[in-house]
Amino acid sequence: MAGRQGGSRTEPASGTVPSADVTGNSMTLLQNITDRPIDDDYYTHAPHERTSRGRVAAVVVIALIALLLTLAVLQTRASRPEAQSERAVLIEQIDQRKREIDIHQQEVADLTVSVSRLRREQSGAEALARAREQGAVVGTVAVTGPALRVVVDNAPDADDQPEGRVRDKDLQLLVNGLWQAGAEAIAINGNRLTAMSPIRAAGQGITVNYRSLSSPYVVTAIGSPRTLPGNFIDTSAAQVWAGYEENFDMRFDITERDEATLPAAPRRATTIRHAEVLEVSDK
Amino acid sequence: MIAVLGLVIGVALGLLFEPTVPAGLQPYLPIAVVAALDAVFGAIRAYLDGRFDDKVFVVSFISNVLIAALIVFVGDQLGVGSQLSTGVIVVLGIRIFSNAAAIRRHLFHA
Repeated sequence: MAGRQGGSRTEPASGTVPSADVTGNSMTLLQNITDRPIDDDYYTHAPHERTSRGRVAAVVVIALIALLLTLAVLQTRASRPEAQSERAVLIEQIDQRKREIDIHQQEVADLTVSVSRLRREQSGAEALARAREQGAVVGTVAVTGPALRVVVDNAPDADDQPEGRVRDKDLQLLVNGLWQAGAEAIAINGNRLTAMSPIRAAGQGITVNYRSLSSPYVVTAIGSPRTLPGNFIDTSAAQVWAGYEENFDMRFDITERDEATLPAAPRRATTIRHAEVLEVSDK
Repeated sequence: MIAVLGLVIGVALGLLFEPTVPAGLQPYLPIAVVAALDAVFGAIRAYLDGRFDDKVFVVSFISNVLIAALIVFVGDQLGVGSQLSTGVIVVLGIRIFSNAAAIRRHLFHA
């Protein structure tokens, strides 16, 4: 191809243009590139005289090329440790976050412990309050309040007439009637009744909390001043006692007191030896 | 001889001073490298043809690098920088392969 026109090396390229143009300019361009891959300058002129300046310039250019290559290589290599260091930084961050997570989890565990401890303490305080409240109900603490006072006694001729004596059952009936009427705390002759207090006959006398009572029997019941007296009058216990009063001339006096103080039951009346608490619920 | 000397000087300079390429010029570095390679292969071919010329070599190298960088720069301004640099690399790559083929024919007669 180059020899077709016999000219310089630049000529064939321009000579092929018309025939290549049929397929379009892009093809011409590609053909140009493949046909004339080299800088035409080398071939358009005869080489210059070789001068020392030219040599120096060539050395400088070659050095420049080498410098460019070295730079490119260095830069590519430099960006690799960068990625590695980034990776290391990320790993470090991950580790740090993991440590933080551990710390937080430890905190959570500590707080859980203290929460349960505080809850226990809190429930302990609640239990104390509840115990005091229940002590009032059971009778292990002294209480005061408006009261109904019922005094009963044997009939004056009780020695001749056994029916005129106050029996343990009569007192039990009376106390039951008071509970039924809404009494909150009851004492007989200053002996506070608890959930375990027996009222029973012992020989001629009657014992409450294992202590012998002597007549007259004073039954004091704390309760609502509005409802307790009326309710009590309506109970069958009060009616039975009214019958005793009427039939056997036994004493049956009911008085209302604005304030009465009932002592705590003695320790022996509230000591539990065999019953064990099954479970303490927090509710 | 000259070539080896220049090569050694360039590599030594690069390794010794490790000059950092300014961030603004970094996109042009690969293009400049390809353009420089193109000039080198053209020079080798001309040398084998017995037509090597210092002046042409210097001028062709500088103009190649500058034009390649210019094209990429314009492409960057137009938002098609990567496409244009691909184009430059393709064209220069074809020239490099053609020159390399000529060099091969010269050296091995095949």
